[in-house]
Amino acid sequence: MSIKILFFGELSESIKKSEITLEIPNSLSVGSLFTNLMKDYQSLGEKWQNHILYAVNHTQVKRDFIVTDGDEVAFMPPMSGG
Amino acid sequence: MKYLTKQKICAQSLSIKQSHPNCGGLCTFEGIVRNHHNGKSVKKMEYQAYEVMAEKELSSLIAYIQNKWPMCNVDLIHRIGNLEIGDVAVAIAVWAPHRKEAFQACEATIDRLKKTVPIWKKEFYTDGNNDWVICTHQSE
Repeated sequence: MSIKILFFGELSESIKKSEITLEIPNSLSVGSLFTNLMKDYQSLGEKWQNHILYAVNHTQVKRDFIVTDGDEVAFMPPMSGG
Repeated sequence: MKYLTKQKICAQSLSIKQSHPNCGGLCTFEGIVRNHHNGKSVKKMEYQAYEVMAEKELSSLIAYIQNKWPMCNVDLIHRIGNLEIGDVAVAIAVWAPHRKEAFQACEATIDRLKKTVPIWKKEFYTDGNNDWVICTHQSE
């Protein structure tokens, strides 16, 4: 299944990507998806693991939320608007 | 975009848009780009948003506040893009029958906005460095 993934703020800048499309064979939680993606960026994964926020289709979700085909997933640093 | 803009903003532009004859209190708040943070001299700021979700969250925020303070009317706008020192980053206007509710609802609006709306800011310092503002308490 195909998942669109968006990165924001410092996270996006660190990995030099703002958006990717990923083909995954099985259902995964957003937390597992993030952990798998960060294997290529080990220090970043450790830095963000406990702080990253997840959204699926524009709604914030917890890390155990299971993605489905066509979802738009966002990995977001803690918000700092205002 | 309804609640996000790349243009200059101010609270007065919100307050003159609406009239609420039953409200005796209007509380406005402007969040302004300041020239220092954590001992560093700030030159300018860049605001980035997950725009679709931010619009949705800002709409939900207004509904949340107006549900908690049913007599209040709330409007707001948040700027994104490149901001200079003194520019208004966010403007909020809350009308209420009495001042107490207006102050309370206005403070709750900016407090909740900072926690729930996907917007991030990057500071550019006068020494040439830059850094994203991280608020780790919000992931708790």
